[in-house]
Amino acid sequence: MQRVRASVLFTLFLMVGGISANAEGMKPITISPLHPTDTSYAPHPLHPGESVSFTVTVESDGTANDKEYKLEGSPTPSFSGSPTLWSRIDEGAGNTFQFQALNSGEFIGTDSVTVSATWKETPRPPRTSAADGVGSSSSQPLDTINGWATGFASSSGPSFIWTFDTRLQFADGSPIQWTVSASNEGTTFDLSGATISITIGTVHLGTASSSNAKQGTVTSSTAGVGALEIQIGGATARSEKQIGFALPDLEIAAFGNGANIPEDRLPNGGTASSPHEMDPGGFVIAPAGGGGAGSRSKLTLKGNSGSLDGSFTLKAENLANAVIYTSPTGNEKITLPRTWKSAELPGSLYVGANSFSAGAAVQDGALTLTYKQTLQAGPSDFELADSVRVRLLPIEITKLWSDQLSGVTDANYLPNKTGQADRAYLLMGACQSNNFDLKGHLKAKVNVGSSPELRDKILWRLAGKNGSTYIPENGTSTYNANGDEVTIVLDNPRTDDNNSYYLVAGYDQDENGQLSSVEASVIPKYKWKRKVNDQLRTDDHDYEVKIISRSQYDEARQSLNGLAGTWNSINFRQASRLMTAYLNEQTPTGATAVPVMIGRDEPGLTHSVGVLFAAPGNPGQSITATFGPTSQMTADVLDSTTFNNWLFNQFEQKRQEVASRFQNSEEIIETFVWNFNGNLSFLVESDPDLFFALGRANVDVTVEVEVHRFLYTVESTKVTGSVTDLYDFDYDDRSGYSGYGDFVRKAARVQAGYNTIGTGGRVYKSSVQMTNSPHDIQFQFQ
Amino acid sequence: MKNYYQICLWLLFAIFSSVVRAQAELPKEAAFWQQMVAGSSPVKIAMVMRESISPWPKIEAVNIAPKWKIDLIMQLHAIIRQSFNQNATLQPEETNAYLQIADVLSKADGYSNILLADSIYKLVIFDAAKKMANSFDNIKSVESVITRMTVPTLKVKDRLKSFANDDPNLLQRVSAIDEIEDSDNLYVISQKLLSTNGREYVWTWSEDLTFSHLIANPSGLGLTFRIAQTEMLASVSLKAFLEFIKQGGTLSELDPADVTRFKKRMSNSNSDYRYPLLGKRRLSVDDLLGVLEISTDLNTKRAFLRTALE
Repeated sequence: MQRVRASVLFTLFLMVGGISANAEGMKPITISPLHPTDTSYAPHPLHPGESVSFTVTVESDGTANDKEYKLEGSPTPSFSGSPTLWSRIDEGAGNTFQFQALNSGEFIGTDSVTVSATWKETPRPPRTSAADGVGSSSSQPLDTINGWATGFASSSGPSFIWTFDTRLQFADGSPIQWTVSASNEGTTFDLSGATISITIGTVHLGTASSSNAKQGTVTSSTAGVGALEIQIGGATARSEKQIGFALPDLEIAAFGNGANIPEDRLPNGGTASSPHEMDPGGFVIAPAGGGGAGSRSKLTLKGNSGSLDGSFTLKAENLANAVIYTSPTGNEKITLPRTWKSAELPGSLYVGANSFSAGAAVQDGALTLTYKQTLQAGPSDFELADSVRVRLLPIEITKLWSDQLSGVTDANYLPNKTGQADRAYLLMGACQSNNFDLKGHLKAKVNVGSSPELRDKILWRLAGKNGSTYIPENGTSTYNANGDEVTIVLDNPRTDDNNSYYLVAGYDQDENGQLSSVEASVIPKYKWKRKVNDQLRTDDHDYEVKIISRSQYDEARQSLNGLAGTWNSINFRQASRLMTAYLNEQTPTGATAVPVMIGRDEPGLTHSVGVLFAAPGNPGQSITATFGPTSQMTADVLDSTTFNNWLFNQFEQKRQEVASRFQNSEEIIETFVWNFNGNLSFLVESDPDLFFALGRANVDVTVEVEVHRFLYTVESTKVTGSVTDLYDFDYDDRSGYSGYGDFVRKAARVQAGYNTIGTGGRVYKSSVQMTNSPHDIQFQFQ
Repeated sequence: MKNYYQICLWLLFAIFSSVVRAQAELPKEAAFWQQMVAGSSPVKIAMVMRESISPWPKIEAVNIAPKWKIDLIMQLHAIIRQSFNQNATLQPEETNAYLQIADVLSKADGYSNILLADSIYKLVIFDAAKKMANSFDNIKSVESVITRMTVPTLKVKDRLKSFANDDPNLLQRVSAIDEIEDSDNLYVISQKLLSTNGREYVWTWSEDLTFSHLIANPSGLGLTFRIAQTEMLASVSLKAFLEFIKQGGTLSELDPADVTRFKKRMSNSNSDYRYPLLGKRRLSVDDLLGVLEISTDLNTKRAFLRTALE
C-alpha cells in the first residue's frame, strides 16, 4: 500500500456514507499591536471531505510600548499555494476573516493560510508653549508593527492496495493478474477515471467489480522488471511491489537432434493440446543391456537475452539415470542440479542415460529450468520454471536368433550359440517371405521398458557398416503381443560380398518407417566368449549377422558345380563326388545313405546351418554317406600318404610292445591287435583329392598286424574301423591355401541357404568303412 | 600326289616371299604362316605343316615372343576352336590332323606352342572319351586313336627350365628347379618353386588353366600341370581303359562303391599305370570313370573343354 503524495482532483472525490464534514475547530486568532502574531493548527489531518474552520480577527488599533497604533490599510489573507486546502468563507468585509480548510482531494499535504496586517504609530498632537522647551514638532519617525496570523491544516491522501496473482511471469504473453483499490481510513474512492500503466509490457484493463477498484492483466513479450502505476487526475502512484517478466524456456527434441516439441503452456494461460513438451515429452533410449551408447536428446535452454540478471537452475526429478551432456557425442557431463548466472546459460545440452535394468519401469520424470530473480518489495526471490517431460527407455536384447527355419529358436543364435567354431556372428540364409521375396528373417528377445507406447516407437533393423557408421537397411520389425519378442526382417539381403549386418535400434524420428544412420542410436553389444590359446576371452561385440542372399547362393552353387567338374577333370574324383552330392542334396557316388540326426552341437559343425533342425533346437535329419570297405574311397584313404604316415606314427609307439612279445616268444610270426584313434589331416601336397574331399577327419580303427621275427618286420596289416568326417564349411576358413578360402566361403554360403533358398548345402557325415581291409605299410619295429 | 602338294607349296612360298619383301618388318615365315592359317582348316594346316619347307616357328610366351608369333598362335587356336564341334565326333582325318598339328607344335617347342598342343591333345582325348562312352562294347573305333596319341613324355625339370624365360615368377626361382627330387609330385614341386608359403598356385591350377588365361598370364608351373594331366589321361587312363575292355571288363564293373570286380579284372595287367608326378600310385576305378565322365558329366565336360577352347 502506498499513499499518494500529490493532489487529486476534488471533483473526483465523492463522499461515501456519513462522514463528518467538520472537524473540531481550530483555535481562533486575534492579532493586535500588542499581540501581532499567532499560529493555529488543525487538530488532525483532514480526511477527504473533512473541513475545519479558522477565524482571524485583526484589531484596528491598539497600544503597545506606550504608543498608539492604528491599523494601516486592509489586512490581506494569503494562501500558501494553489491549489490549496484553504478558502475564505466570510463575505470579505471588516477585519475578521473566516477560513475553512477542506480536504477536497485537491491538495494532499500541509497547507496554510496567513492573514497579514500592519499597524502604524499614531502621531501625537504638536506642543504650543515655549515653556515646554519643546519645539513645535517631533523629529523622530513613526513606528510600525507588522503582524500575522497563520492557520495550518493538513490533508491525508488515499491508500492504493495492489494485488498480483504472481509477481514473475513468462514474457511470452502470459498475464500477471492485478487489482488495485483505493481507500483512506475507511473511505473508498472512485477510481473509474484512473489509468494504469507500466514501463514494461502492456496493461490490459478488465472490468472492475466496484468503482473504487480496477483490475486487469499485464503481459510482455520481453524480459524486464517494473512497477504498475496509477494515474488519476494527473497524479501518479506507483506500486511498491515490482513485477517482472522473464524468458526461461526449456525445450526438448522429440528424439535425438530432431525438432523441438511444442511448448505446453499457452501464452494466455492454460495448457496446449498434446503433443507438447509435457505430453508426451521427449524420450531417451538408455544404453542396451550389455553395451551400446543409447540415445541423447537435445535440450534447448533459453534465457533473457541478457536483459535481466538473476540465475537459472536446471534440475531433474525422477530421472535417476539421466545424464546431461554438453554435446551430442562427447563425454563431458554436467551434474544436476546446476545453476548458471543469467548471462552464462548454455544454449543447448543433451540428455542421455546410463544403462539400467530393462526389467525396470521406464523412468518417467522431468527436467526443469528455473529462473530466479529478486523483485523490489520482495518478500523473497521469485522463481519462474519451465519443465519438459523426459522418459528414459531401457532397452535390452537377450537373444537374437535366425528365424530361417520357422520355430527353430535354439539352434543358431547370439550370444555364443553360432556353431562349434564360436564365431562372433550368425551365418544364415535368406528365406521365403510372403511373396517369394527372399529376405533375412530374425527374431530377438527384447526388453523394451514397460511402456508399450514408447516400445512401439523403437524400430529394429540390420545395418551395414561404413567405418564406424552404421547404415540401417530397409526392413521391418514387429513386436509380439507381449512386447518381449520382435521379428526383424531385412528386405533385401545384399548380393555382394559385403553381407555383414549389425543389429541396431532407434527411434523413427522422421516417421518414414525406416531408420537412418542418425536414428539408429542403439548398437547393442553382447559378450563374445571364446577360447584363445586355451584361455577364455570375453569381448564386447556387435550383434553381427551374415545373411546369404539368393543371388549369392546361386552364384556360389553354380561356381562350385563348375569346380566339381574341374576337380573331376583333374582326377580329384572323391572331392568332386562329395561336393556334387553337397550341392544337390544327394548321396555321393560310391556311398550309401544312412539316416542320421545332426544336432547343433555336432562336433565340427562350424555354423549352425545346413541342417534342418527341428523346433525349438533339436537335431535335424541328414545322412551319413557310408563308403563300404570295398569302395574306391576306402581304397583311396588306405592308400593315402596321410593315413600311412598316421599309422606309421601309431606303430612307432608300439616298438617296445613288439620287442617284448618276441622276447618272450619263439614264434616266427606274432599277431598284434591294436586300437588306434585320432585325427587325420589330409594334405594337398600328398593327397590333394582327399584334402578337398575330407580335409580333417576322425579315425577310429582296429589294426591287426602280423609281424615277422626278422627285424620285427610288418608282414601284413588289416584295418577295421572307420574314418569319419562332417561335410560342412567354415565361412572364415583362411588357414588353408591361397584361393582355398574362396572356395570354402562359397561352399559355406550354399550351406547357409540350404532348404530355404535351394536344396544344395545340406551338411552330411562321411564314413569310410574298413573291414579287415589290407593296408600296405612298410615298417620294422626293431 | 605328295609331289604335287610339294610343288604347290613351293610356288606359294615363293609368292609369299616376294610379298614379304615388301613388308620389311616381318620375317618371311610370318606372312607365310599367317596366310596358311588364315581361313584354313585343321586338315589343310596339318598338311601344310607336314609338307612345308619352312618349319612352324618356335613360339614363346607373350612377354618374349614377337607379336606376330602370338598373333599366329591365337589365329591357329581360333581355327581349332571353330573347327571343333563338341556335339559331334571327329572324323579320322580330323583326328589325324589334330594330332599332326599338336605334334608339330610340340616339336617346334616354345611356351605358346606347347600350350596350344596341349589344348589340341585335350580335344582329341575328349573325342576319344566320347567315343568310348558311346560305344563301350566296340572299342576298336578309338583304339587306333589311343595307340597313335603319343603325348610327349613330360620331363618335369627340363620342361620347367624351358619355361623359365616365359614366366617371370618361375625365372626368379629357377635355381630351385635343381632341388626337385625325382620322387616329388607336382604339388610338392609347387611348394618348392613358389614363394615362401609355397601354396599359392596349388589352387590356382584348377581355376585358371584355360588357354586364353595362360597365354595372357604365362605360368610355367600351370602349363606343366596341364601337360601332366593330359599325359596321365593319355598314358594311364585311356590306355588302362582300353586294356580293361580288352580284358572283358564291363561298365558295371566300374563301380566306385565296390571295386572288387575291377581289381580282379585288372589283376593280371602287367602295365604300369602309376603316374607319380600327380601322386597316382595305382590304377583305380576312378581313372576309367574319369575318362567316361569327361564326356558324360556336364560339369566335368564343361570344365575339361573350357581349358582347351577358352
